[in-house]
Amino acid sequence: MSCDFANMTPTSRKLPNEIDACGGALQFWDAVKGYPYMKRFFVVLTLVMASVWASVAAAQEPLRIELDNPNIEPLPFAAPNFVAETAGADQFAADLARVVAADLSNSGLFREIPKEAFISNITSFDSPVQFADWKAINAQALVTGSVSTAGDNQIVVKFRLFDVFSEQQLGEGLQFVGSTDGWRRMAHKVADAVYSRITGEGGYFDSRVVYVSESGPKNARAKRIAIMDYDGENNQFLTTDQSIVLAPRFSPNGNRVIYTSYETGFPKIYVLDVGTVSRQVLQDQPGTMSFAPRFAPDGQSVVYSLTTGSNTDLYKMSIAGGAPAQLTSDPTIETAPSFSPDGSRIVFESDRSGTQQLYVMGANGGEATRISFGQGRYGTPVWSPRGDLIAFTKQNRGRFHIGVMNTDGSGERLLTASFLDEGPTWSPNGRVIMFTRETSGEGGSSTLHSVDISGRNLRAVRQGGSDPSWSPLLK
Amino acid sequence: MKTGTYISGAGHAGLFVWLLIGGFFVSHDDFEAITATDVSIITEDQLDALRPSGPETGEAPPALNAPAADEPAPAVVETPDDVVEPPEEAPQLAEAQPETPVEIEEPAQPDVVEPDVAAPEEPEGDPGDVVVVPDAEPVPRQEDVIAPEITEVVEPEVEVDEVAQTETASDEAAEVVQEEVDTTTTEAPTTTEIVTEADEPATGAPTKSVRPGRKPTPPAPAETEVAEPTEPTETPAVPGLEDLINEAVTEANQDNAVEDNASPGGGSGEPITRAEKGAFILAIQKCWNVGALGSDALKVTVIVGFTMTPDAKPEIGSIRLVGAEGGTGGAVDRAYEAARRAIIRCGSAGFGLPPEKYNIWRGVEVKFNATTKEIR
Repeated sequence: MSCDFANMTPTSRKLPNEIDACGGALQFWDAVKGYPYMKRFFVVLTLVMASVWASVAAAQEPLRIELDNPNIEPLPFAAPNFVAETAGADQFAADLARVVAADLSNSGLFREIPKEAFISNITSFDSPVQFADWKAINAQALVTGSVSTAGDNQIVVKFRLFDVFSEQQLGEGLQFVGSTDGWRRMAHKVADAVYSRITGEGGYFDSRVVYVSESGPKNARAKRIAIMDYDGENNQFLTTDQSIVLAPRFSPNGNRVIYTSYETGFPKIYVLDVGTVSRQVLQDQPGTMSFAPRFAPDGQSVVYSLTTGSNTDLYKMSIAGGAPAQLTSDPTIETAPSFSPDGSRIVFESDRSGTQQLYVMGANGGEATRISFGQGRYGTPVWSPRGDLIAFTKQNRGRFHIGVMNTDGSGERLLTASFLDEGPTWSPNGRVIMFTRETSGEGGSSTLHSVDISGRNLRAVRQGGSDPSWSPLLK
Repeated sequence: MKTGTYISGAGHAGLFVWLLIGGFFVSHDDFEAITATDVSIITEDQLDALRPSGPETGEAPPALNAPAADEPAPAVVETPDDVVEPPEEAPQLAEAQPETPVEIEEPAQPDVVEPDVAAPEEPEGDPGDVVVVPDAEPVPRQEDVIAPEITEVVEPEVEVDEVAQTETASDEAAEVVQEEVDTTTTEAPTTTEIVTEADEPATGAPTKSVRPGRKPTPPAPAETEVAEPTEPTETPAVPGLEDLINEAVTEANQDNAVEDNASPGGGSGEPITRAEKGAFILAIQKCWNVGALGSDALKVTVIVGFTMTPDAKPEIGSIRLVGAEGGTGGAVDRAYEAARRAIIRCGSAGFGLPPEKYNIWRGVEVKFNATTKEIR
């Protein structure tokens, strides 16, 4: 049906069927016909201009593309020697830059550009950066710094971080003041700041690790509790080698260590103050064996295993003493407990199903939920400080693995594989796992290793060590 | 009503008449006359009196259907099908043929089809002595089977041995020993995939060097892929088919030149091609590195907008964050900075886009989706 608007009479236009057929055009024609010629002209002009504007707007629509396959490679960075601003600071200037570069490179997320490739150098901390020189060697990040000495063995360290290709500084510059003895910690703090600024997650370089230092042959190995920087430096012993010690664990604030000692012939739990190296027995119930202790996130209580007769269950007690509370009561072995970061749950290992598996229960006990269902045996679970993952040891088909899984047991990923890998511990930022790798044979030895949670960057940290526990980030 | 009654009555009357006198029309020659035999009953003594006295003569009864002595041997002895299996020499004939294809003559009737070993023994003695001839009628001899042409020697199929084999690679300990070499870290390779130690094969020695994943081959420029129009066929079978074929060929050759961006208003009026767009994507992607991003930043997808100069270089001051999803705060900032570095680094020399289409690519929005590399 065609619409002859001009010849339509108002009466006919009122017919319902014609209105339906001609629709909005009829109404539009009504509106235009009611205007004088000039008004009609402006209406048409407006329509034409709107059309042109729409065309122009469409032409200026940006070209849209999508990328979904990025590269995964360490970020190349340059860390020239810090500028020595006072006499006698030259060695510190070189050492600080070296430790900062080593920290970043050790993370596996950064790659240091050798100093031999530098086109220019930083001679003044406040001078403008010649970005072209750093672009030429493909340095995407540039760390500059200075160090000056002051009285009473004090040093002042300053640094800046630059995005070379954007030619702008990333974040604000920072300054640290400390003793000359603590220059390594200052370097670690600089590296933590750089790491955090680029990755978006907290650093872990300014942290320590407590572990069992092992020496001597395998059948007569001397064991001592020792503490070191995360990178194996500044090693110190906290106990003698007169008795067997096991499973040292840091308190949440890092100033105490809890561990198991066979000093009395039976395993007992001790608490050691790191600052004063003084200790006390935490649990000394006659006729029992207590082991595998771990602090609660608040640092006020400890969860551990207690063996009475032939049964091993989990208990919790206050660090200040008092009667322990029994958390499990199964006729099987429950051990290796670890709190969730919020302190509401505990993950532990148990053989109640017939094989060694992982379970999660409330912090005050109760019904436990099994979370590991893969082939093999699971043990030594440790909750990530981020709360999203649980690291564990897995034994399957004669091989040991360090792996991670979600807290409900899903998403299991194995990160390592060897003759014997066990005892994982998390870095303060939940990005790196340190563990023990032991080699076979009479001449075999144990070594502390670390691995990124992506499974990359497997590194040997220190020979002759086992059972590590990573401290929180130092204050 | 009455008509039906009449018809029914007539039909029944006819039926009765047929039953009564119908036999008159039937011939009775087919019926055989019944013969009767008189039977008398005798006593046992009478029966013994009727029996002959003295030993049996041993005379063989006459052979049923025995052939006459002057008749040739029964053909049955020459039809060994039921007695002797057919000879298997025929396939050997084929195997004996040369492997090279030669002109094959019509095979003559070979003598070997009646080998001595296959021929049944002739019955000795007088054929009339044959007592048991179950199938006396001759059966036509089966034709000799001769391969019409050279047949390939078929390799015997490999059969799965159902016997359980002992595993030879089950020595886990041996594999572990090979892995005891202390693994010190080397420079992490550039890659788009993460392979953990646990994913690696159990053997200690690496099977291949770690190399970056292959990047997709950028599509060639569309202009070079457009083929010359094909020569028209001289005699098209169907009127109009020639045009259809040429049209299809041209369309197929211009597959990479299909309009992929509907943005009008370009300087030349032509849209940017899929190949040009793909090359642009690869140019940015090769500089996009998320290896130093934290776990949270890897969960973020950012959209970064910028404008470009006519020589296809990004205007650094125009680079801006248009949108983000999957995270907030610092994670978005870190993801954006990585994207920004990629644009600046690889755009410093220009992205090589066609200048005549500047109005199309002057403004760009790039979606950087790193969630495929998320650490799960």
